[in-house]
Amino acid sequence: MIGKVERVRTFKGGPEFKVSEDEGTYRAGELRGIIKINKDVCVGCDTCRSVCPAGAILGGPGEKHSIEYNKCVNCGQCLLNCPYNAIEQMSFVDLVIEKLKDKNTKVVGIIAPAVRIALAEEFGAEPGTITVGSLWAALEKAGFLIYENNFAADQTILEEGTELIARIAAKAGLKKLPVFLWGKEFEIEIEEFKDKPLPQFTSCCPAWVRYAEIFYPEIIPHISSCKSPQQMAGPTAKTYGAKYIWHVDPKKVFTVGIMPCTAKIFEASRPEFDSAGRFIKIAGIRDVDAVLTTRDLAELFRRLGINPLEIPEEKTRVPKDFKWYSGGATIFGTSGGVMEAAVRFAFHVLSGLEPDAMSPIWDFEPVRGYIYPVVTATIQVPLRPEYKKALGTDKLAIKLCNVNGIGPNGGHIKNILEAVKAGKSPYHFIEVMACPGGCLNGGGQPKHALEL
Amino acid sequence: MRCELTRREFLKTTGIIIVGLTIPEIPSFIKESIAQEPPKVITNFFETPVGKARTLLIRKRQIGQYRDDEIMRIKYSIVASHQNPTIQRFYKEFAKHPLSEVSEAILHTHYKKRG
Repeated sequence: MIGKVERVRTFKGGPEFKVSEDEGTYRAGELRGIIKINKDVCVGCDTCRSVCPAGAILGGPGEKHSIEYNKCVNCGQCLLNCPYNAIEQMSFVDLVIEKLKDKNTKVVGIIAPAVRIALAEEFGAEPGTITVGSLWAALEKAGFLIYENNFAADQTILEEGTELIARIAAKAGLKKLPVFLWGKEFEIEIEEFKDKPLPQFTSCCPAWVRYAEIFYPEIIPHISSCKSPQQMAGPTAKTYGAKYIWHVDPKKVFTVGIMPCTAKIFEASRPEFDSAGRFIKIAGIRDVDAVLTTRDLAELFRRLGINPLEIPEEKTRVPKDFKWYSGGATIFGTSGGVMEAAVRFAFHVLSGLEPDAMSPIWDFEPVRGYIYPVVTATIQVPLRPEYKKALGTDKLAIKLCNVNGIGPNGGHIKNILEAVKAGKSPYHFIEVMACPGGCLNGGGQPKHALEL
Repeated sequence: MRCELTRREFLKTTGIIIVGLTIPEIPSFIKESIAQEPPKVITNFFETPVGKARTLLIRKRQIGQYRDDEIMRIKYSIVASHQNPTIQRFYKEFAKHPLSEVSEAILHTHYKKRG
């Protein structure tokens, strides 16, 4: 049974948690110790160990638990499921409030899909209650500019969906890929994609990416080169956003990921994520400056005296600029959603068809994870004449696999990864979310008392 | 009257007892039954006690997520990513097309073996 929402203890994050040089599974500049077990509260009940995907929890039943950080992927499942609320999270609420008060800083809030269906629980509403307009308005009241991470999810799909088609086409021997979009034709060189193997794995989940890097480095070439939506949002906000949308100095933009996830806090600290600075040639600026969890955002609102549930949802929900997003983007928050969004896009590109938005053709139900550990499906996509000719077939059968949570000690994913390592995986595309259910059950979401 | 201990209280009590007791020799018939039935490791999260306890919460949030998909489709007719008007603007004004040089510079990355 799930009980009332509990407050999770936090501790203040800062540069002192960054490792100064490469050490164990951490690279210089990365944050270590985002999740911490409080030994004074832990009773050794072993629940955290039973849900850890990475075998990173030390101590058996009756012993005080602790985390082996070299194995930890920062997913926060231990924290979310601790019946004693003994696990704490590194928080940057103070820093973000400070930036909001600074008149010289433009603070951009990057709102992940799963935040909008869970934040309301922190203010007493039922799970699944949607706050979109009211969340935008509440954030604007607090001083944020809005960058929907759902917009970044759409960016991800354009890139990752095209990458998938490029890998399939390169494997079929094509050197150039014509892509038909918005009534235009683009030609993309895909020679380099012949070295990029199938299946392609999704790369949105930073706990999954770190899991692969630690435990299955052999499969790294299979992981999509696309950054996660959060990491696409940051540099887009500081380049395109600053110049074309907000007309502000990129140095004054402070980007804040608002995420259902504790692994996103780690992800933002990866050393390579300073691409905006490299692009506009300004040294020392980061793509994403701080990350708040859904719980942190609720805390920030409480401190500023804002209750999003007091703001009407309907009339505030007016999309504009980076507030635009697709249906495909918003389901990124649930297991199978990234895959379904990618398939919706790939279906359009490959077939040239575009049914009405309400048509059930867009519902690729068989890939939805719901509460199954692994789901697989084959989708038959009719090809437009140009691809029929190039690929020598009328229809493309795309084989899909969705891993709904890495599972206890890798329980959901082990067989899938071993097959890929052995070169025996039948799939074109595999989605992996570290948390069972997807981001909506992420380690940064409202924590409910758990009675086992 | 039956004495009912919650799991929480049980663990607290046993936690204390374990500290103070030495464990007696296990009788052979129990040893045999242990040997015959090794503890079952549940590899499917959704079949674990935690997974079962969380099912309803996960389901309710999933319903919310798919409801938001429906809202974007009913109200704005935007079902797939390329239909997002700001996406079209972003590529027209800035990135040109997917997998372009600009995309490679700000939207793509690489990974590294760890440890």
